Amino acid sequence: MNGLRSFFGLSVYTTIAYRRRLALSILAFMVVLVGYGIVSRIRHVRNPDDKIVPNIAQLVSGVRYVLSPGENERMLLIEDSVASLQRLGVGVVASFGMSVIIGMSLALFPIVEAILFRFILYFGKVPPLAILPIVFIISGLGETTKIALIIIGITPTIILDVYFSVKRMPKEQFISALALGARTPTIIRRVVLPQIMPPALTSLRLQLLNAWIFLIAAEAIASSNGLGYRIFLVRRYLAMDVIIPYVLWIAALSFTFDALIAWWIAHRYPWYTR
Amino acid sequence: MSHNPVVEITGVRHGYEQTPVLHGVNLSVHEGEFVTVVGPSGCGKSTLLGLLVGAEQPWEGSIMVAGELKTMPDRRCTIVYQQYSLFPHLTVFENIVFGLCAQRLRTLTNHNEESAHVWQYLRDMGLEDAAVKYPYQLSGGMEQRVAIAQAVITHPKVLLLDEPFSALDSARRQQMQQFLLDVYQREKMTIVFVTHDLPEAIYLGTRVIKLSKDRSQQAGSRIVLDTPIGYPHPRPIEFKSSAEFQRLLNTLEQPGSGQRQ
Repeated sequence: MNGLRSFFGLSVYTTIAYRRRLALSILAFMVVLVGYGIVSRIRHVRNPDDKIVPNIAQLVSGVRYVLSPGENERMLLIEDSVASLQRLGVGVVASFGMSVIIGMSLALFPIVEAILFRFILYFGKVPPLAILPIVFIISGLGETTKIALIIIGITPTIILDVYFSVKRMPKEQFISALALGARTPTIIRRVVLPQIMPPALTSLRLQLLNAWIFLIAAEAIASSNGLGYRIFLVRRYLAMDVIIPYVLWIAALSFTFDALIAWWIAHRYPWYTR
Repeated sequence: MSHNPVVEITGVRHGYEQTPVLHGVNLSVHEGEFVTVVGPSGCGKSTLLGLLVGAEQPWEGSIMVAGELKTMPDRRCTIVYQQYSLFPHLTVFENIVFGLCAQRLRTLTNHNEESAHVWQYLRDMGLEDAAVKYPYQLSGGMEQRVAIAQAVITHPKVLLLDEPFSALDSARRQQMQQFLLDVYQREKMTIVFVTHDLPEAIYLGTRVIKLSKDRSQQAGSRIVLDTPIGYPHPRPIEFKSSAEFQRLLNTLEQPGSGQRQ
């Protein structure tokens, strides 16, 4: 029994060899794939035209469809990905920039803290999807609305993460910097900013999923292209053979961005990930 | 040693919230003096240093450094803490030149003439091999060595050290004491050094100040002993085992002797 517990790493303070860890990770994927295959097989035995849990042949056909040229002579998947990634990129970069500036200002300048902290704390709790109609009414159905929704959705959390990161910095560092002759702009640029970038980027990693949620919600309601638009368009025809590849593609994109940010933090800020 | 007082503390009273920590503190530190401040935990040694660096303002009294009132941290006094003195995101080289760059609002490259002086300084401080390392890659002793080098390179009027060797084992502590004495000799600086270790205070200082709480315990601490240490610098390690050292230790351990106020 103890051996079994140790094999699966169920005892505290036990370590699992890398190969075994990898095998267990692959096992999770395999369980889902096999489970899916069994359910699909059962459903297709009952109904050979079943569309809810498509079989391999249906999925291959769905993938062929998404890789076929769309209106702009480009593959549908590429066309939708470019549209979505543009919105996501602008929204995330704008949100990150604003969050760093506002978060640092909140933590460093008491007057900004007095004015904005409770405001951000309060409005940060408003679910962005609840104000989606307001944003549509004010900004219309254009690109601005979709980007605005991402910004509204993820900025307050990143602001607060930046704020607390600055507040956690030892006050000795500020005193040392002042005593060494640095003034406020130098302290912000050379002491605070480099130290809050890794936690801010970590916060961004965690907020990427929310950014995708808000993007897909906005595209589902008011768009003529994009990954979210396509998923909700084909939903009407129960086209699971298209929806599943799209969902897996979004997961792959999201996973890649997450891995890239994690790599950047480890590579650019070795002192943070020591 | 010059007779100009570089630090003048007059009638200082200070504390936290409603609790007084220091009261009636008067102290003059002359240029080139190495003043060590000792006292039990919570007697206000670090508070005194916080006031000297300008991180806090006294409730009463005044602190003058180099003839000017001290109201905030500035380049007249640099400080080395027990920890957090170094910037974790900068390499040893970058930490050391931080003050120079901040004061001159530019970046030192590895190629200009000033950089050559910095490299020479790193060699003098025994830090050349660690130049590209980050603080987390250094031992505790090395980290404090860098912190002292960082604080000294800007040539402050006064170098303040707040129990900088407390976290080190005794061998490293002895090495660092020797290192600090070498720096003191070379740079001819004015130093105020806080420690809870009386032998360390006697070994390093040209003058030992003892802070202690009043009998009433209500008013806060004041300076109860102010003893010059006549043994000349540079001090060999043998000084610690000399009869003179033992005599000073006995004198300073007795609360009544050498009373100043």
